Amino acid sequence: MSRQMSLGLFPLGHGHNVGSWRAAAARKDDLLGLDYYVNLARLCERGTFDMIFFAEILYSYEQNGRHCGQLAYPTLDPVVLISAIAHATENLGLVATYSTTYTDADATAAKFATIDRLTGGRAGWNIVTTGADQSAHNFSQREHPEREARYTRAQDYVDRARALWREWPSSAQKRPVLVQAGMSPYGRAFAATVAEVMFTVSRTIEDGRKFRVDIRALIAEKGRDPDQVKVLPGIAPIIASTEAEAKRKEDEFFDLVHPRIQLALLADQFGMDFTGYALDQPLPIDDIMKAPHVVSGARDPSRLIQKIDGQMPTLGAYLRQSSRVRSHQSFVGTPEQFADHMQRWFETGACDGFNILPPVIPGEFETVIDHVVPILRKRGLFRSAYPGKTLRDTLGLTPLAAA
Amino acid sequence: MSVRACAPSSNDIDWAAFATAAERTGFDTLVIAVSPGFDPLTAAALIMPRTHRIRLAPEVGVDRGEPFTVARGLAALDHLSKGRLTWCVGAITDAARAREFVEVTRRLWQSWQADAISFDKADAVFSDPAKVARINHQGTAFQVRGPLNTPRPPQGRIPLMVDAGSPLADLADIVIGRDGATVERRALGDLR
Repeated sequence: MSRQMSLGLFPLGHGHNVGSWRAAAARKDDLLGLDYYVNLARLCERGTFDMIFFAEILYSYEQNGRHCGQLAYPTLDPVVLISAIAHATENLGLVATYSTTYTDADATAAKFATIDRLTGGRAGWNIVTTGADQSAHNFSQREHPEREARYTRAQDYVDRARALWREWPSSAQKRPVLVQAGMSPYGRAFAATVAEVMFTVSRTIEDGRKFRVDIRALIAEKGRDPDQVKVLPGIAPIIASTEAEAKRKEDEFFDLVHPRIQLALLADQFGMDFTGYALDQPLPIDDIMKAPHVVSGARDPSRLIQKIDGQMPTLGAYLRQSSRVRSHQSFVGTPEQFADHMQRWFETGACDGFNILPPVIPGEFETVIDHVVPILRKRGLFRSAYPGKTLRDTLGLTPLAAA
Repeated sequence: MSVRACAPSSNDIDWAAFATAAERTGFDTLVIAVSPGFDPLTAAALIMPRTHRIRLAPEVGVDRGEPFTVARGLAALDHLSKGRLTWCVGAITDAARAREFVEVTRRLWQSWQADAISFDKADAVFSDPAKVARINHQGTAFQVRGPLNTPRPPQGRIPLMVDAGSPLADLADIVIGRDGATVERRALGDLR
């Protein structure tokens, strides 16, 4: 059989659009109840998706030392979440992020061993070193460790987990699938050593190809088979039956981003107050660079901005992109056009599939399952049934002899 | 009456079937004990949707790890189970650290007031900044700023279960006697 795509769903809140909780369908209790997540898991399985993936946040959003009522929506422990939805699915891969910087390796290894065994080998661990400074203060640390130190710790941590998994009773796939999501040079080197799935950020097809060529070379350099690593860039689709309708939908979604949310988002990204700046004026880069502080030391404002097609965007244009899906690519069009787009990326070596980041949930994900997946199947680009039981089987990774 | 279950070394008992049987028999709590390579909280999350009434009491230790991790994990399952969770703390080697651990965990649960989520779509206020606050804990074993990133669990304070003789007995809501009999120290309805 010819090569087929891998597809994952990455749900976040009521959608990746920062105003998505204001959509008509969003309800107050959604994010704290089981039904909301079970529905998403079942949608994934109807669309024979490889996996559902939950992120981890280790602090509550604040601005100027105060809770931010616009951006601080709740997030639940991702391992508890994937465990609680497991009963509703039979084949779906269940992937949770867990930080190696602020948790105990033995405890984390036991968590993933438990879900992997009790689900018959469907678990995956997205290994992150945590990029947010704010987390340190919740974990008895004075400051967030530097990137190099974090990755050194991550390598030791994963080595320890793998040693424990060899010791403990193993699951149907021997151990959880290892996933990685960092794009820095340290992140890439780490991924090339341990990852089997990579969640990436590529905004253009050229970026995607270059990244995949580079990482495959690095994987081979580390003595591993590059075909055993799936590179899945994130993408946020806005799909409707005509292009004009999809564009209207895009406008409606931007309308969800209330001016108060816009200001909160900009303050979060650039550490300054944008009250009084006009949406149709170019982004005030000089003022931004002079701002007394950037919220997170990991962020370089000029890098965020350059991501808008190489040109200085207006404040409004910047917000349109950033409020929808942060720095990931988005797509606006018909189901056929989206399938064409995915096919082009997949067949020209820019990816091995995608991680879908719906801007509004569940609506924009239902559209993908009901209208895009059937096209991909008809073209032979995506499965119609799960090939086996474990996540490794689904991803088409070679079975392991031992953990 | 509660039933206490340990994972055998093979780890492959059918936990959901066991929990359903315990529920059918009329047990009110299933205590899930820790064993090597087996995480009771994760198992409790897997079992929870297959049961309806029985309280789940995973053993979550306080000898290692950080209160933030424990607070958010227990809070998540308390939300998803609509308040069916009990926190069973196992063996303790450092009593002072354990007491501080429990204190910080409880303060993190309280860092969101019960009505903090306003969900005001018109004014774009998801949660009320006046009702979510840092805890600023500066202790001997832990320094935790907070707030938690998960709203207050439905039970407010998830009941704490310990064995008789535990150095946490005075902090506990449920103490299991040496003969295995449960002594309820406080009515569960009073915990908010």
